[in-house]
Amino acid sequence: MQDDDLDDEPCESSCYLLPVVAAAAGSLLLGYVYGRDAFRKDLVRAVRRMEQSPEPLEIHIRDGLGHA
Amino acid sequence: MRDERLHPVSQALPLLLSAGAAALVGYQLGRMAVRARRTGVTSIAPADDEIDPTDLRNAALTYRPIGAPGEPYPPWVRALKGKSGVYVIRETQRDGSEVIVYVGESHTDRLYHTLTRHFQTWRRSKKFWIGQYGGQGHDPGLTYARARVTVAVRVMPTHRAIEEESRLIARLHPRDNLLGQPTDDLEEAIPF
Repeated sequence: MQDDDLDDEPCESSCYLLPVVAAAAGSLLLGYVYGRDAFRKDLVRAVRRMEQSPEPLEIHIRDGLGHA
Repeated sequence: MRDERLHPVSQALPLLLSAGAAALVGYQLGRMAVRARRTGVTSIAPADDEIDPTDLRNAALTYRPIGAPGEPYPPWVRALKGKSGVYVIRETQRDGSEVIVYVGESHTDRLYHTLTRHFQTWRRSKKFWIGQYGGQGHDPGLTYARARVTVAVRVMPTHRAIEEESRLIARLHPRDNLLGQPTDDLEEAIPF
C-alpha cells in the first residue's frame, strides 16, 4: 500500500530538524511579543505609581539582562 | 527488523528545549527592545535640548528658563501652541532659593497662551478676558518676571490636564495657587 511505502521511506535529518526550528522560531516570536508587552505594562505600572504618589519617588525597572 | 524510531519523549525533548530557550531569548529581546525605544540603552535622561515637550507627559518635571524679557520664547515653549497640559512655574527668590509659585493647566489646547500670559508685561483691557479662563472676565493678574523663573511643562490629552493640575497642586503646594491646596480639601471635609 502507498501509506506503508511512505512509512518505510528513510527520514532525513531535516525531518527532525524542521519541527525544532519551527518551534524555536515560533517561541522566539511569542516570547518577543510577550516580553515587549510585559515591559510596557511594567512601565505603565511605574508611571501610575509615580502619578499617584504624593512624594517624588524613584523606580527602577530591570530588563532581562538586569539593567535598571 | 530493528525499529529505529525514537521514543516520543526523546523526540519531543529537543523540540521543547529549543522552544523554551527561544521563548526566553525572545522575552528578553522584547523587553530590551521596548526599553531601548522608550528610554535609550545608555542614558535614561536625555539632554535638555533633546527634550521634546510632547514627550514629557510621564517624565519627571524638568525646569528650564524661558529667556529674558523682550526675547522670543525658546522653541520648546513655542512648541506648546495648540497643545493641552500642565505647567509649573518656579521663581528664584532674593536669597537664591527656588520656590514653586504657580501650577496651571490648559485643557483647550491653549497651553502656550495660558503659560505665557504669566509673563506679559502689559495689562489688557477688561473686555479681553471675557470668555477666557472660566468666562468670568477676570484679568488673571498673576505675572512673573521672565528672567527670574524657570518653567516645567507636561503635555497631555485634554481630559487629563485638570486632574493632573490638581495632583500637582496637592503635591507641590505652589505659593500662588488659591484653589486646590490640601487645606481646601480639609476644610471641605469638615462641615463645621
